[in-house]
Amino acid sequence: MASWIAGWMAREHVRAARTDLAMAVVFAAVAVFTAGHGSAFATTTTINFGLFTLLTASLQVMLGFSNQASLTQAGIYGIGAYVAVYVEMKSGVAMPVALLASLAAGAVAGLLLALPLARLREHILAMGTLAVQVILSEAFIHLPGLTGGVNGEAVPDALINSVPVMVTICACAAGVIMALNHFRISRVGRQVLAVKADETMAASIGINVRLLRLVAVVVSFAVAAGAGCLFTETAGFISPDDFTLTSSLAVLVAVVLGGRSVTWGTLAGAAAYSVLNAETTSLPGLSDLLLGIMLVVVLGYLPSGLTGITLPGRWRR
Amino acid sequence: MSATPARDTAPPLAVTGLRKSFGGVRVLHNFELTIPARSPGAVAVLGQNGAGKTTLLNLITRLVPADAGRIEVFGHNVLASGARQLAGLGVARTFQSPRLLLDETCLNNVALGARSVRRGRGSAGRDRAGAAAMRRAADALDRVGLGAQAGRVAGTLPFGSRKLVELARALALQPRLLLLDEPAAGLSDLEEGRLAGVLSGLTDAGITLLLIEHRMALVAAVARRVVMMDGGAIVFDGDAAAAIASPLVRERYLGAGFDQVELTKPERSDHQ
Repeated sequence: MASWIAGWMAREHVRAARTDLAMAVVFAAVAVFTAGHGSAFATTTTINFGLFTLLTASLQVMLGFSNQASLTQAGIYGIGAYVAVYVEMKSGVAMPVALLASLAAGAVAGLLLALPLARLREHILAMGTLAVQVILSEAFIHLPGLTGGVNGEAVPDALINSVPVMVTICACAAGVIMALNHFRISRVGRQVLAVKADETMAASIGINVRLLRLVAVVVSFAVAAGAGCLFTETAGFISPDDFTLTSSLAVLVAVVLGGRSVTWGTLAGAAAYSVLNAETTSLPGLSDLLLGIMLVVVLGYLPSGLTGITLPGRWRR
Repeated sequence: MSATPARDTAPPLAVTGLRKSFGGVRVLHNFELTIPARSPGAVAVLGQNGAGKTTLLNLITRLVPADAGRIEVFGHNVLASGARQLAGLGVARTFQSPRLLLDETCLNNVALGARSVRRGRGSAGRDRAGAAAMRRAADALDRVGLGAQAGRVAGTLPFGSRKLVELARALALQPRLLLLDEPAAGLSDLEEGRLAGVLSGLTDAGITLLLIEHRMALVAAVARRVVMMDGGAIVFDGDAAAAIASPLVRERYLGAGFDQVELTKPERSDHQ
Protein backbone atom coordinates (compact mmCIF):
# COMPACT_ATOMS: atom_id res chain seq x y z
CA MET A 1 0.00 0.00 0.00
CA ALA A 2 2.57 2.55 1.12
CA SER A 3 4.83 1.79 -1.82
CA TRP A 4 2.29 2.64 -4.49
CA ILE A 5 1.54 5.92 -2.74
CA ALA A 6 5.24 6.74 -2.78
CA GLY A 7 5.34 5.73 -6.43
CA TRP A 8 2.36 7.94 -7.16
CA MET A 9 3.96 10.96 -5.52
CA ALA A 10 7.30 10.23 -7.16
CA ARG A 11 5.73 10.06 -10.61
CA GLU A 12 4.41 13.62 -10.31
CA HIS A 13 7.82 14.88 -9.27
CA VAL A 14 9.51 12.97 -12.07
CA ARG A 15 7.13 14.62 -14.50
CA ALA A 16 7.94 18.03 -13.02
CA ALA A 17 11.67 17.32 -13.23
CA ARG A 18 11.27 16.37 -16.90
CA THR A 19 9.54 19.72 -17.49
CA ASP A 20 12.45 21.40 -15.68
CA LEU A 21 14.89 19.77 -18.02
CA ALA A 22 12.93 20.82 -21.10
CA MET A 23 12.73 24.34 -19.69
CA ALA A 24 16.48 24.46 -19.11
CA VAL A 25 17.10 23.23 -22.66
CA VAL A 26 14.80 25.90 -24.13
CA PHE A 27 16.48 28.73 -22.23
CA ALA A 28 19.97 27.38 -22.89
CA ALA A 29 19.17 27.16 -26.62
CA VAL A 30 17.85 30.72 -26.65
CA ALA A 31 20.91 32.01 -24.76
CA VAL A 32 23.41 30.10 -26.93
CA PHE A 33 21.68 31.21 -30.14
CA THR A 34 21.65 34.84 -28.98
CA ALA A 35 25.29 34.79 -27.90
CA GLY A 36 26.24 33.13 -31.19
CA HIS A 37 24.26 35.68 -33.19
CA GLY A 38 26.20 38.39 -31.41
CA SER A 39 24.07 41.34 -32.59
CA ALA A 40 22.87 43.98 -30.16
CA PHE A 41 19.33 43.50 -31.47
CA ALA A 42 19.36 39.78 -30.64
CA THR A 43 20.77 40.38 -27.14
CA THR A 44 18.25 43.13 -26.38
CA THR A 45 15.38 41.01 -27.64
CA THR A 46 16.43 38.04 -25.51
CA ILE A 47 16.94 40.24 -22.44
CA ASN A 48 13.47 41.70 -22.93
CA PHE A 49 12.08 38.19 -23.39
CA GLY A 50 13.74 37.03 -20.14
CA LEU A 51 12.49 40.03 -18.17
CA PHE A 52 9.03 39.71 -19.63
CA THR A 53 9.00 36.01 -18.80
CA LEU A 54 9.74 36.91 -15.17
CA LEU A 55 6.87 39.42 -15.15
CA THR A 56 4.52 36.90 -16.76
CA ALA A 57 5.57 34.28 -14.21
CA SER A 58 4.93 36.77 -11.41
CA LEU A 59 1.38 37.31 -12.61
CA GLN A 60 0.98 33.57 -13.08
CA VAL A 61 1.46 33.23 -9.29
CA MET A 62 -1.42 35.61 -8.65
CA LEU A 63 -3.77 34.93 -11.56
CA GLY A 64 -2.89 31.37 -12.50
CA PHE A 65 -2.52 29.95 -9.00
CA SER A 66 -4.85 32.16 -7.04
CA ASN A 67 -7.30 33.65 -9.56
CA GLN A 68 -6.36 37.18 -8.53
CA ALA A 69 -6.09 39.44 -11.55
CA SER A 70 -3.52 42.20 -11.29
CA LEU A 71 -2.86 45.25 -13.43
CA THR A 72 -0.09 46.43 -11.10
CA GLN A 73 2.78 44.20 -12.19
CA ALA A 74 4.61 46.91 -14.15
CA GLY A 75 4.26 49.33 -11.24
CA ILE A 76 5.81 46.81 -8.86
CA TYR A 77 8.50 46.12 -11.48
CA GLY A 78 9.15 49.86 -11.31
CA ILE A 79 9.37 49.85 -7.52
CA GLY A 80 11.95 47.08 -7.76
CA ALA A 81 13.91 49.02 -10.37
CA TYR A 82 13.90 52.31 -8.45
CA VAL A 83 14.83 50.60 -5.20
CA ALA A 84 17.73 48.85 -6.91
CA VAL A 85 19.03 52.07 -8.47
CA TYR A 86 18.57 53.94 -5.22
CA VAL A 87 20.43 51.50 -2.99
CA GLU A 88 23.18 50.92 -5.56
CA MET A 89 23.73 54.64 -6.06
CA LYS A 90 23.29 55.86 -2.51
CA SER A 91 24.99 53.09 -0.63
CA GLY A 92 27.08 51.55 -3.38
CA VAL A 93 26.10 48.01 -2.45
CA ALA A 94 26.78 45.06 -4.73
CA MET A 95 24.15 43.89 -7.20
CA PRO A 96 23.04 40.79 -5.22
CA VAL A 97 22.30 43.03 -2.22
CA ALA A 98 20.30 45.36 -4.46
CA LEU A 99 18.38 42.32 -5.73
CA LEU A 100 17.52 41.34 -2.16
CA ALA A 101 16.42 44.91 -1.46
CA SER A 102 14.15 44.85 -4.53
CA LEU A 103 12.66 41.48 -3.59
CA ALA A 104 11.97 42.78 -0.08
CA ALA A 105 10.43 45.98 -1.46
CA GLY A 106 8.11 43.94 -3.68
CA ALA A 107 7.11 41.70 -0.78
CA VAL A 108 6.39 44.70 1.45
CA ALA A 109 4.34 46.31 -1.33
CA GLY A 110 2.43 43.02 -1.58
CA LEU A 111 1.73 42.99 2.15
CA LEU A 112 0.56 46.62 2.13
CA LEU A 113 -1.65 46.24 -0.94
CA ALA A 114 -3.07 42.82 -0.09
CA LEU A 115 -4.80 44.25 2.97
CA PRO A 116 -7.07 46.75 1.16
CA LEU A 117 -7.50 44.37 -1.80
CA ALA A 118 -8.25 41.26 0.30
CA ARG A 119 -12.02 41.48 -0.02
CA LEU A 120 -12.02 42.13 -3.76
CA ARG A 121 -12.55 39.37 -6.29
CA GLU A 122 -12.48 38.93 -10.07
CA HIS A 123 -12.93 42.09 -12.14
CA ILE A 124 -13.41 44.29 -9.08
CA LEU A 125 -9.94 43.21 -7.97
CA ALA A 126 -8.63 44.01 -11.45
CA MET A 127 -10.12 47.52 -11.10
CA GLY A 128 -8.50 47.91 -7.69
CA THR A 129 -5.08 46.90 -8.96
CA LEU A 130 -5.55 49.17 -11.98
CA ALA A 131 -6.04 52.04 -9.55
CA VAL A 132 -2.82 51.06 -7.75
CA GLN A 133 -0.96 51.04 -11.08
CA VAL A 134 -2.24 54.53 -11.91
CA ILE A 135 -1.19 55.78 -8.48
CA LEU A 136 2.28 54.26 -8.88
CA SER A 137 2.69 55.75 -12.36
CA GLU A 138 1.83 59.19 -10.98
CA ALA A 139 4.14 58.67 -8.00
CA PHE A 140 7.08 57.80 -10.28
CA ILE A 141 6.53 61.07 -12.14
CA HIS A 142 5.80 63.33 -9.19
CA LEU A 143 8.38 62.15 -6.68
CA PRO A 144 11.49 63.44 -8.46
CA GLY A 145 13.54 63.28 -5.25
CA LEU A 146 13.27 59.48 -5.30
CA THR A 147 12.70 58.68 -8.96
CA GLY A 148 14.16 61.51 -10.95
CA GLY A 149 10.66 62.43 -12.13
CA VAL A 150 9.79 62.33 -15.84
CA ASN A 151 13.46 62.50 -16.76
CA GLY A 152 14.10 59.25 -14.96
CA GLU A 153 17.21 58.07 -13.25
CA ALA A 154 20.50 57.23 -14.91
CA VAL A 155 21.94 53.88 -13.93
CA PRO A 156 25.66 53.96 -13.30
CA ASP A 157 27.66 50.91 -14.38
CA ALA A 158 24.78 49.39 -16.37
CA LEU A 159 25.90 46.65 -18.75
CA ILE A 160 23.86 47.37 -21.85
CA ASN A 161 23.51 44.42 -24.25
CA SER A 162 25.87 42.35 -22.17
CA VAL A 163 25.86 38.62 -22.85
CA PRO A 164 26.60 37.61 -19.22
CA VAL A 165 23.64 39.70 -18.02
CA MET A 166 21.47 38.14 -20.73
CA VAL A 167 22.51 34.67 -19.52
CA THR A 168 21.84 35.64 -15.88
CA ILE A 169 18.35 36.89 -16.73
CA CYS A 170 17.56 33.74 -18.72
CA ALA A 171 18.79 31.61 -15.79
CA CYS A 172 16.59 33.57 -13.37
CA ALA A 173 13.55 33.21 -15.65
CA ALA A 174 14.13 29.47 -16.01
CA GLY A 175 14.66 29.13 -12.26
CA VAL A 176 11.46 30.97 -11.37
CA ILE A 177 9.36 28.90 -13.78
CA MET A 178 10.89 25.70 -12.40
CA ALA A 179 10.11 26.83 -8.88
CA LEU A 180 6.47 27.46 -9.86
CA ASN A 181 6.35 24.08 -11.52
CA HIS A 182 7.35 22.36 -8.28
CA PHE A 183 5.31 24.65 -6.06
CA ARG A 184 2.20 23.54 -7.93
CA ILE A 185 2.56 19.96 -6.72
CA SER A 186 3.72 20.83 -3.21
CA ARG A 187 1.46 20.70 -0.16
CA VAL A 188 1.00 24.47 -0.01
CA GLY A 189 0.71 24.71 -3.79
CA ARG A 190 -2.18 22.27 -3.82
CA GLN A 191 -3.86 24.23 -1.07
CA VAL A 192 -3.44 27.46 -3.06
CA LEU A 193 -5.04 25.77 -6.09
CA ALA A 194 -7.86 24.46 -3.90
CA VAL A 195 -8.53 28.02 -2.73
CA LYS A 196 -8.59 29.12 -6.36
CA ALA A 197 -11.08 26.38 -7.26
CA ASP A 198 -13.46 26.74 -4.32
CA GLU A 199 -12.87 29.00 -1.34
CA THR A 200 -15.84 27.62 0.59
CA MET A 201 -14.65 24.06 0.22
CA ALA A 202 -11.09 25.04 1.10
CA ALA A 203 -12.18 26.77 4.30
CA SER A 204 -14.35 23.80 5.25
CA ILE A 205 -11.33 21.49 5.26
CA GLY A 206 -9.25 23.83 7.38
CA ILE A 207 -7.27 25.68 4.70
CA ASN A 208 -6.38 29.28 5.53
CA VAL A 209 -7.92 31.05 2.54
CA ARG A 210 -6.91 34.59 3.46
CA LEU A 211 -3.31 33.69 4.23
CA LEU A 212 -2.81 31.77 0.99
CA ARG A 213 -4.29 34.57 -1.10
CA LEU A 214 -1.94 36.98 0.68
CA VAL A 215 1.06 34.72 0.08
CA ALA A 216 0.25 34.62 -3.66
CA VAL A 217 0.26 38.43 -3.82
CA VAL A 218 3.47 38.76 -1.79
CA VAL A 219 5.38 36.18 -3.86
CA SER A 220 4.04 37.63 -7.10
CA PHE A 221 5.11 41.17 -6.24
CA ALA A 222 8.50 40.04 -4.95
CA VAL A 223 9.21 38.29 -8.28
CA ALA A 224 8.05 41.35 -10.27
CA ALA A 225 10.23 43.68 -8.18
CA GLY A 226 13.19 41.32 -8.52
CA ALA A 227 12.73 41.47 -12.29
CA GLY A 228 12.80 45.27 -11.96
CA CYS A 229 16.22 45.05 -10.30
CA LEU A 230 17.54 42.84 -13.13
CA PHE A 231 16.14 45.37 -15.61
CA THR A 232 18.27 48.16 -14.13
CA GLU A 233 21.40 46.07 -14.73
CA THR A 234 20.80 46.22 -18.48
CA ALA A 235 19.29 49.69 -18.83
CA GLY A 236 21.33 52.85 -19.09
CA PHE A 237 18.49 54.70 -17.49
CA ILE A 238 14.99 54.07 -16.18
CA SER A 239 11.96 56.35 -16.33
CA PRO A 240 8.23 56.22 -15.62
CA ASP A 241 7.68 55.28 -19.29
CA ASP A 242 9.08 51.83 -18.52
CA PHE A 243 6.46 51.08 -15.87
CA THR A 244 3.13 52.12 -17.36
CA LEU A 245 -0.37 50.70 -17.29
CA THR A 246 0.19 49.54 -20.89
CA SER A 247 3.06 47.35 -19.69
CA SER A 248 0.84 45.90 -16.96
CA LEU A 249 -1.80 45.17 -19.57
CA ALA A 250 0.84 43.48 -21.73
CA VAL A 251 1.68 41.14 -18.84
CA LEU A 252 -1.98 40.29 -18.37
CA VAL A 253 -2.35 39.63 -22.11
CA ALA A 254 0.71 37.36 -22.03
CA VAL A 255 -0.77 35.26 -19.20
CA VAL A 256 -4.18 35.03 -20.86
CA LEU A 257 -2.57 34.34 -24.24
CA GLY A 258 -0.30 31.65 -22.83
CA GLY A 259 -3.18 29.83 -21.22
CA ARG A 260 -3.55 27.53 -18.30
CA SER A 261 -0.24 25.67 -18.49
CA VAL A 262 1.93 27.22 -15.77
CA THR A 263 5.23 26.45 -17.44
CA TRP A 264 4.58 26.39 -21.16
CA GLY A 265 1.81 28.98 -21.00
CA THR A 266 4.11 31.46 -19.29
CA LEU A 267 6.80 30.84 -21.89
CA ALA A 268 4.44 30.91 -24.87
CA GLY A 269 2.74 34.12 -23.74
CA ALA A 270 6.00 35.89 -22.97
CA ALA A 271 7.61 34.73 -26.22
CA ALA A 272 4.64 35.77 -28.35
CA TYR A 273 4.58 39.23 -26.82
CA SER A 274 8.36 39.69 -26.98
CA VAL A 275 8.50 38.76 -30.66
CA LEU A 276 5.59 41.09 -31.39
CA ASN A 277 7.29 43.89 -29.50
CA ALA A 278 10.66 43.38 -31.18
CA GLU A 279 9.11 43.29 -34.66
CA THR A 280 7.14 46.50 -34.18
CA THR A 281 9.70 48.79 -32.51
CA SER A 282 9.80 50.99 -35.61
CA LEU A 283 6.08 51.73 -35.30
CA PRO A 284 5.49 52.71 -31.65
CA GLY A 285 1.68 52.61 -31.64
CA LEU A 286 1.42 49.32 -33.48
CA SER A 287 2.30 46.99 -30.61
CA ASP A 288 -0.36 48.57 -28.38
CA LEU A 289 -2.92 48.13 -31.14
CA LEU A 290 -1.93 44.51 -31.72
CA LEU A 291 -1.99 43.95 -27.96
CA GLY A 292 -5.60 45.07 -27.81
CA ILE A 293 -6.55 42.94 -30.82
CA MET A 294 -4.80 39.93 -29.28
CA LEU A 295 -6.67 40.34 -26.00
CA VAL A 296 -10.03 40.48 -27.80
CA VAL A 297 -9.19 37.48 -29.99
CA VAL A 298 -7.91 35.39 -27.09
CA LEU A 299 -10.80 36.16 -24.76
CA GLY A 300 -13.35 35.68 -27.54
CA TYR A 301 -12.01 32.69 -29.42
CA LEU A 302 -9.24 31.03 -27.38
CA PRO A 303 -10.41 31.23 -23.77
CA SER A 304 -7.89 28.59 -22.71
CA GLY A 305 -5.00 30.32 -24.48
CA LEU A 306 -2.23 29.07 -26.76
CA THR A 307 -1.42 26.03 -24.63
CA GLY A 308 -5.12 25.28 -24.58
CA ILE A 309 -5.21 24.67 -28.33
CA THR A 310 -2.02 22.78 -28.88
CA LEU A 311 -2.14 20.72 -25.71
CA PRO A 312 -5.74 19.72 -25.13
CA GLY A 313 -6.82 17.83 -22.03
CA ARG A 314 -4.58 17.66 -19.02
CA TRP A 315 -1.18 17.52 -20.65
CA ARG A 316 1.23 18.89 -18.06
CA ARG A 317 -1.23 21.54 -17.11
CA MET B 1 -6.44 10.24 20.80
CA SER B 2 -5.24 12.25 23.76
CA ALA B 3 -8.16 14.54 24.43
CA THR B 4 -8.40 16.36 27.71
CA PRO B 5 -11.15 15.22 30.11
CA ALA B 6 -12.97 18.52 29.63
CA ARG B 7 -13.15 17.83 25.92
CA ASP B 8 -14.46 14.34 26.53
CA THR B 9 -17.39 15.53 28.59
CA ALA B 10 -18.17 18.59 26.49
CA PRO B 11 -21.10 17.97 24.14
CA PRO B 12 -20.08 17.59 20.49
CA LEU B 13 -22.72 20.17 19.59
CA ALA B 14 -24.73 22.63 21.63
CA VAL B 15 -26.81 25.20 19.74
CA THR B 16 -28.80 27.71 21.77
CA GLY B 17 -30.98 30.65 20.78
CA LEU B 18 -29.72 30.57 17.20
CA ARG B 19 -31.33 33.07 14.87
CA LYS B 20 -30.86 33.65 11.18
CA SER B 21 -32.81 35.62 8.60
CA PHE B 22 -32.05 36.21 4.95
CA GLY B 23 -33.57 39.60 4.26
CA GLY B 24 -37.16 39.32 5.44
CA VAL B 25 -37.16 35.52 5.44
CA ARG B 26 -36.77 34.11 8.93
CA VAL B 27 -34.96 30.80 8.56
CA LEU B 28 -34.03 29.92 12.12
CA HIS B 29 -35.74 31.37 15.15
CA ASN B 30 -34.36 30.64 18.61
CA PHE B 31 -33.17 27.29 17.37
CA GLU B 32 -31.97 24.82 20.03
CA LEU B 33 -30.21 21.51 19.50
CA THR B 34 -27.81 19.69 21.79
CA ILE B 35 -26.03 16.45 21.06
CA PRO B 36 -24.81 15.25 24.46
CA ALA B 37 -21.39 13.73 24.97
CA ARG B 38 -21.06 9.95 25.12
CA SER B 39 -24.22 9.37 23.13
CA PRO B 40 -22.86 7.52 20.12
CA GLY B 41 -24.90 7.28 16.99
CA ALA B 42 -26.16 9.58 14.32
CA VAL B 43 -28.63 12.41 14.66
CA ALA B 44 -30.75 12.83 11.55
CA VAL B 45 -32.38 16.14 10.69
CA LEU B 46 -35.59 15.92 8.69
CA GLY B 47 -37.61 18.72 7.22
CA GLN B 48 -39.12 20.03 4.04
CA ASN B 49 -37.10 22.00 1.54
CA GLY B 50 -36.60 25.47 2.98
CA ALA B 51 -36.94 24.30 6.58
CA GLY B 52 -33.45 25.64 7.29
CA LYS B 53 -31.49 22.36 7.45
CA THR B 54 -28.62 23.36 5.20
CA THR B 55 -28.57 26.82 6.75
CA LEU B 56 -28.09 25.15 10.12
CA LEU B 57 -25.04 23.29 8.77
CA ASN B 58 -23.70 26.46 7.15
CA LEU B 59 -24.10 28.32 10.43
CA ILE B 60 -22.33 25.61 12.42
CA THR B 61 -19.46 25.54 9.92
CA ARG B 62 -19.34 29.36 9.82
CA LEU B 63 -19.99 29.66 6.11
CA VAL B 64 -22.77 32.13 6.84
CA PRO B 65 -22.80 34.48 9.83
CA ALA B 66 -25.41 34.01 12.56
CA ASP B 67 -27.70 36.87 13.58
CA ALA B 68 -27.79 35.84 17.24
CA GLY B 69 -27.31 32.82 19.46
CA ARG B 70 -24.54 30.51 20.48
CA ILE B 71 -23.00 27.45 18.86
CA GLU B 72 -20.57 25.33 20.87
CA VAL B 73 -18.60 22.45 19.45
CA PHE B 74 -16.84 20.33 22.07
CA GLY B 75 -17.15 23.28 24.43
CA HIS B 76 -15.67 25.83 22.00
CA ASN B 77 -17.73 28.80 20.97
CA VAL B 78 -17.44 28.56 17.18
CA LEU B 79 -19.10 31.90 16.53
CA ALA B 80 -15.91 33.46 17.87
CA SER B 81 -13.75 31.76 15.25
CA GLY B 82 -13.60 31.37 11.49
CA ALA B 83 -14.60 28.54 9.20
CA ARG B 84 -11.16 27.02 8.97
CA GLN B 85 -10.60 26.70 12.73
CA LEU B 86 -13.40 24.14 12.82
CA ALA B 87 -11.29 21.49 11.14
CA GLY B 88 -8.83 21.87 14.01
CA LEU B 89 -11.66 21.30 16.50
CA GLY B 90 -12.47 18.01 14.80
CA VAL B 91 -15.41 19.13 12.69
CA ALA B 92 -15.75 18.08 9.06
CA ARG B 93 -18.63 18.39 6.64
CA THR B 94 -19.79 17.38 3.20
CA PHE B 95 -21.93 19.38 0.81
CA GLN B 96 -25.21 18.45 -0.80
CA SER B 97 -23.58 18.84 -4.18
CA PRO B 98 -20.00 17.58 -3.89
CA ARG B 99 -17.28 20.20 -4.09
CA LEU B 100 -14.20 18.53 -5.52
CA LEU B 101 -11.28 19.58 -7.67
CA LEU B 102 -12.57 17.91 -10.80
CA ASP B 103 -9.29 17.74 -12.70
CA GLU B 104 -7.35 16.25 -9.80
CA THR B 105 -7.23 12.59 -8.88
CA CYS B 106 -9.43 11.20 -6.14
CA LEU B 107 -6.36 10.60 -3.98
CA ASN B 108 -5.18 14.20 -4.34
CA ASN B 109 -8.65 15.48 -3.51
CA VAL B 110 -8.76 13.43 -0.34
CA ALA B 111 -5.14 14.23 0.50
CA LEU B 112 -6.08 17.91 0.48
CA GLY B 113 -8.12 17.20 3.59
CA ALA B 114 -5.57 14.87 5.12
CA ARG B 115 -2.75 17.32 4.64
CA SER B 116 -4.47 20.31 6.12
CA VAL B 117 -4.64 18.70 9.56
CA ARG B 118 -1.39 17.98 11.29
CA ARG B 119 -1.85 15.21 13.72
CA GLY B 120 0.87 13.18 15.39
CA ARG B 121 3.62 14.99 13.55
CA GLY B 122 6.16 15.37 16.31
CA SER B 123 9.77 14.89 15.25
CA ALA B 124 8.88 12.77 12.24
CA GLY B 125 9.67 15.63 9.87
CA ARG B 126 7.89 17.00 6.86
CA ASP B 127 8.29 14.16 4.40
CA ARG B 128 7.11 11.57 6.87
CA ALA B 129 4.14 13.78 7.71
CA GLY B 130 3.37 14.11 4.01
CA ALA B 131 3.57 10.36 3.47
CA ALA B 132 1.39 9.79 6.53
CA ALA B 133 -1.19 12.18 5.10
CA MET B 134 -1.19 10.32 1.80
CA ARG B 135 -1.64 7.03 3.65
CA ARG B 136 -4.52 8.53 5.63
CA ALA B 137 -6.05 9.69 2.35
CA ALA B 138 -5.71 6.23 0.80
CA ASP B 139 -7.22 4.65 3.92
CA ALA B 140 -10.17 7.05 3.79
CA LEU B 141 -10.81 6.14 0.15
CA ASP B 142 -10.67 2.46 1.07
CA ARG B 143 -13.16 3.10 3.82
CA VAL B 144 -15.78 4.41 1.39
CA GLY B 145 -15.02 1.58 -1.03
CA LEU B 146 -13.20 3.67 -3.64
CA GLY B 147 -9.64 2.52 -2.97
CA ALA B 148 -9.38 1.15 -6.50
CA GLN B 149 -10.32 4.54 -7.97
CA ALA B 150 -7.60 6.49 -6.15
CA GLY B 151 -5.72 7.38 -9.32
CA ARG B 152 -8.80 8.36 -11.31
CA VAL B 153 -9.51 12.00 -12.08
CA ALA B 154 -12.47 13.05 -9.95
CA GLY B 155 -14.29 14.69 -12.86
CA THR B 156 -14.58 11.33 -14.65
CA LEU B 157 -16.45 9.70 -11.77
CA PRO B 158 -20.24 9.44 -11.63
CA PHE B 159 -22.07 11.75 -9.24
CA GLY B 160 -22.58 9.16 -6.52
CA SER B 161 -18.90 8.28 -6.41
CA ARG B 162 -17.97 11.95 -6.21
CA LYS B 163 -20.11 12.23 -3.10
CA LEU B 164 -18.25 9.30 -1.60
CA VAL B 165 -14.90 10.91 -2.48
CA GLU B 166 -16.06 14.01 -0.66
CA LEU B 167 -17.02 11.87 2.32
CA ALA B 168 -13.54 10.34 2.21
CA ARG B 169 -12.01 13.82 2.20
CA ALA B 170 -14.00 14.70 5.30
CA LEU B 171 -12.92 11.44 6.96
CA ALA B 172 -9.28 12.19 6.16
CA LEU B 173 -9.63 15.21 8.45
CA GLN B 174 -10.16 12.66 11.24
CA PRO B 175 -13.27 14.38 12.55
CA ARG B 176 -15.03 13.79 15.84
CA LEU B 177 -18.16 15.55 14.60
CA LEU B 178 -19.14 14.94 11.02
CA LEU B 179 -21.88 17.00 9.36
CA LEU B 180 -23.42 15.44 6.27
CA ASP B 181 -25.74 17.33 3.93
CA GLU B 182 -27.92 14.75 2.14
CA PRO B 183 -25.18 12.18 1.65
CA ALA B 184 -27.51 9.71 -0.08
CA ALA B 185 -29.08 12.15 -2.57
CA GLY B 186 -28.14 11.05 -6.07
CA LEU B 187 -26.66 7.72 -4.95
CA SER B 188 -27.72 4.43 -6.47
CA ASP B 189 -29.32 1.86 -4.17
CA LEU B 190 -26.05 -0.07 -4.16
CA GLU B 191 -24.07 3.02 -3.17
CA GLU B 192 -26.68 3.94 -0.56
CA GLY B 193 -26.34 0.51 1.01
CA ARG B 194 -22.58 0.91 1.12
CA LEU B 195 -22.96 4.42 2.56
CA ALA B 196 -25.16 3.06 5.35
CA GLY B 197 -22.42 0.56 6.20
CA VAL B 198 -19.75 3.28 6.18
CA LEU B 199 -21.80 5.59 8.41
CA SER B 200 -22.60 2.80 10.88
CA GLY B 201 -18.88 2.03 11.06
CA LEU B 202 -18.18 5.69 11.87
CA THR B 203 -20.68 5.83 14.71
CA ASP B 204 -19.25 2.56 16.05
CA ALA B 205 -15.84 4.27 16.03
CA GLY B 206 -17.25 7.00 18.28
CA ILE B 207 -17.69 9.75 15.69
CA THR B 208 -20.78 11.90 16.15
CA LEU B 209 -22.80 12.32 12.97
CA LEU B 210 -25.28 15.06 12.22
CA LEU B 211 -27.05 14.05 9.07
CA ILE B 212 -29.51 15.87 6.86
CA GLU B 213 -31.29 13.24 4.84
CA HIS B 214 -34.53 12.63 2.98
CA ARG B 215 -34.00 8.91 2.35
CA MET B 216 -35.84 7.38 5.29
CA ALA B 217 -34.24 3.99 4.69
CA LEU B 218 -30.81 5.45 5.42
CA VAL B 219 -32.15 7.44 8.37
CA ALA B 220 -33.71 4.32 9.85
CA ALA B 221 -30.50 2.35 9.26
CA VAL B 222 -28.04 4.73 10.91
CA ALA B 223 -29.83 7.34 13.05
CA ARG B 224 -30.44 6.80 16.73
CA ARG B 225 -32.17 10.10 17.07
CA VAL B 226 -34.33 11.97 14.60
CA VAL B 227 -35.27 15.62 14.81
CA MET B 228 -37.63 17.37 12.46
CA MET B 229 -37.36 21.06 11.61
CA ASP B 230 -40.32 23.14 10.62
CA GLY B 231 -40.70 26.89 10.62
CA GLY B 232 -37.15 27.44 11.86
CA ALA B 233 -37.41 25.31 14.99
CA ILE B 234 -37.45 21.67 16.02
CA VAL B 235 -40.97 20.26 16.14
CA PHE B 236 -40.13 16.60 16.72
CA ASP B 237 -37.30 14.93 18.62
CA GLY B 238 -37.22 11.17 19.14
CA ASP B 239 -35.88 7.91 17.73
CA ALA B 240 -36.36 6.78 14.15
CA ALA B 241 -39.25 4.42 14.84
CA ALA B 242 -41.06 7.11 16.82
CA ALA B 243 -40.51 9.58 14.00
CA ILE B 244 -42.07 7.27 11.44
CA ALA B 245 -44.97 6.59 13.77
CA SER B 246 -45.46 10.23 14.72
CA PRO B 247 -48.64 11.78 13.30
CA LEU B 248 -46.90 15.15 13.22
CA VAL B 249 -43.96 13.90 11.15
CA ARG B 250 -46.30 11.96 8.89
CA GLU B 251 -48.50 14.98 8.35
CA ARG B 252 -45.82 17.58 7.77
CA TYR B 253 -43.05 15.57 6.16
CA LEU B 254 -43.48 11.92 5.26
CA GLY B 255 -47.01 12.22 3.89
CA ALA B 256 -49.99 10.14 4.93
CA GLY B 257 -49.22 7.46 2.32
CA PHE B 258 -45.73 6.70 3.65
CA ASP B 259 -45.21 2.99 3.81
CA GLN B 260 -42.84 1.03 6.04
CA VAL B 261 -41.93 -1.12 3.04
CA GLU B 262 -39.80 1.73 1.69
CA LEU B 263 -37.42 1.22 4.57
CA THR B 264 -36.23 -2.14 3.27
CA LYS B 265 -34.79 -0.70 0.07
CA PRO B 266 -31.04 -0.83 0.81
CA GLU B 267 -31.15 -4.52 1.74
CA ARG B 268 -32.64 -5.40 -1.65
CA SER B 269 -30.03 -3.46 -3.55
CA ASP B 270 -27.88 -6.46 -4.47
CA HIS B 271 -30.71 -8.06 -6.43
CA GLN B 272 -30.48 -5.35 -9.10
